Amino acid sequence: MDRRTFLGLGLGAAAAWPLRSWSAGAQPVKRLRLRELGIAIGELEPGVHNAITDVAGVRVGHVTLLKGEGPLVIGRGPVRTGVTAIVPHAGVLSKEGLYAADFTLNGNGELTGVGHVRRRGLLAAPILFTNTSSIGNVYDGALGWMLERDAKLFNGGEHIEPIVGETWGDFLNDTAGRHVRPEHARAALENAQGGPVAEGNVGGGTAMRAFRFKAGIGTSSRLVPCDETTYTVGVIVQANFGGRSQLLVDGVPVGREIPDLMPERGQATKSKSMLVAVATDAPLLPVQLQRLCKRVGLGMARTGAISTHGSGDLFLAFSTGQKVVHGQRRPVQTLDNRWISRMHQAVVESTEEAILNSLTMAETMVGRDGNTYHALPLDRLVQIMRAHGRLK
Amino acid sequence: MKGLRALGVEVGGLPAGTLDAITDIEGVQVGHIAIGGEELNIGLSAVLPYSLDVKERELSIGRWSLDGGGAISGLGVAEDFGTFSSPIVFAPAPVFGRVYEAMIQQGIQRDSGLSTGAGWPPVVLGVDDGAANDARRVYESAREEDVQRVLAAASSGEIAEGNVGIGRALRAFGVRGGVGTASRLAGSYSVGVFVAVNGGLPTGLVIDGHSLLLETVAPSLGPQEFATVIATDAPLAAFELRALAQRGGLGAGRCGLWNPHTRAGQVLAFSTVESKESTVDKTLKERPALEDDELYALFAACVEAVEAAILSALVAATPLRVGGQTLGVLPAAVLQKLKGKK
Repeated sequence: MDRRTFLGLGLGAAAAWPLRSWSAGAQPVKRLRLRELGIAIGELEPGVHNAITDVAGVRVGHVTLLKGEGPLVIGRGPVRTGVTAIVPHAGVLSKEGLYAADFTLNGNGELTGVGHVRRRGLLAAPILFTNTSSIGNVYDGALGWMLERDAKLFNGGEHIEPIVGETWGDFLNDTAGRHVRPEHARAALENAQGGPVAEGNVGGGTAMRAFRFKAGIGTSSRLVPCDETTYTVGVIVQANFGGRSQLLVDGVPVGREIPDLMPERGQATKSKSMLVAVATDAPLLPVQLQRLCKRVGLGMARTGAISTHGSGDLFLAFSTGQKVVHGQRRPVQTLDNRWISRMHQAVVESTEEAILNSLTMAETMVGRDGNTYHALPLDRLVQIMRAHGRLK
Repeated sequence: MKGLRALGVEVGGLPAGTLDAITDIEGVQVGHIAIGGEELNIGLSAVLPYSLDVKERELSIGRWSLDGGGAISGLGVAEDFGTFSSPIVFAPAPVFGRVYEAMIQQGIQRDSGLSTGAGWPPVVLGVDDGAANDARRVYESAREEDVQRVLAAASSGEIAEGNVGIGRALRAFGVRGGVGTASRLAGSYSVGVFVAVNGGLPTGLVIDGHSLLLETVAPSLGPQEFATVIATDAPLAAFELRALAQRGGLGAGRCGLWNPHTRAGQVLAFSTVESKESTVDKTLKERPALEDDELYALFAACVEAVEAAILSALVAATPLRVGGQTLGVLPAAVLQKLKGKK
């Protein structure tokens, strides 16, 4: 579960990286986060880990399934999949709900459990990201985990469901083999922890790609000063969208300058999707959280996304700022809308950076039938950013 | 005394407020005026969430519509922010723009900055009378002073029903429609409803589960639309008010105001409880908490209040002579089914 990069590597060290020793297209040994390359998105400062876990109490766990290579044999592999769990707080979620809202930018996807979110404006379950064929098993495992924590889950009449989303990773993975089991979802939930979050080819993001480079899970956060209080906004994405020529990094048309390193062998699928969870400790109500969800789309757009017809671009935002506990008559708090634009900015910036982190952290992956998604070459990324005057 | 009570008719089983009107919700005012002279049967109605002299008061609102609803302004803010701060004016659809213009004037007078907390954007509900009047003449009829007049006419206390204000032009269930109001208590809170009853077929009126078949040959009408405003003194947030507005739609459905000929329906629900700045952190606002059970009680009260308001409008309506024909009213005999049932 550890990050596969040097956490201590600062901006100076990244700038001094011996770029010329990398031949074009060769794999660098280390993958780095965007900021470690010296590229910072936007104006607001990230939190300590620049991750969704900077929102206190939010935990993330991955289970990554990698097995076999060679030709596809349905049911045997090769396996390139997994599940990522986002646990909003450490308590019993069904008894201590959080205000939440969702937004569908383009609907060709699945995100279970949003009925309850829309009806009551509450998130009362964990959020899990996986691949398209594994929704049922992940749902099943997560529901079992929830029932262990609240045996009366179905007695309250609220019908709380796990939030399970998917993206399509068939190019690398034995999708039809449905290798994610309920116990994998349970393990991801049990593994969930605060602190640094593994990115790239992990969990639900294992087989995913963006802009025809290998991508997957990415995360980022922003600190939002509101008067004397500083709130945090954190975003986690499972990125699986985008054509190569569309890719923008901090506004630079990087994708157009790397026309090679395209997916190899089989016909790469055109299905594209994006799952995003947004967390904040600011006390926001569902109407405000839905506005935040919409800004996820703007963050996507800044990386070049157009949200295609085949895309399932599904976003969910929740606030840990107050827990809604049945029978407790605490006043309901709302961040004054005077501050909401800064929250919007935080969502846009951290979504953009999370997507780019999913690219810079993902390694080249060879999957079924030898199908290959190449990693975004970091040396060339840095060279392009330099050529555009964006890096020294 | 309201018409329904005078007839000994009760709808549903929940207790009504003192006036059985939307004005049972403290601070809410309603006004009606006729416009366009005697030949046109049109008018304006206004529901004020608070007095016109109150400045900078932003309340929460939720909206539901059948098939997109009719003409409505203020929708972007109402749906995206979940707030409004304007009087709600019901207007014949052709004069929507003129009414909006006058409301902007009124908003500027209240606060030249036109912030979302002070009258921006105006909430105007355009109600299409289904060709009961000549649209071109209606279009020419409204003047800016009319909007000022209807706002000035608003008052708390008992309010007129039937063929007043926007209710002058309306038809429903093959007879004359109109405006109606009702309220219901839900624990320590109340729900008040104001409905512009427009639509429905003669065979389709159902009140309190009783089918009230009207032996009326309905004049041929175009597709129609209704509009409803719900007020509550419960501290609901926008997403809860959206759910309450949906229940208002259910109330209209239960009465048969929805039918295959109903083109559209618009329901707005607002809470008169303003969020207050937190004493602990000035970046925050606060409002009292509400239990789920209290919310569900409000839902039930809302459905029943909409039903009662629809019947109340029909009972208060008076016959209308148009072009040598008379548009009748709900026959008192059909109300027998609803009498003395308790």
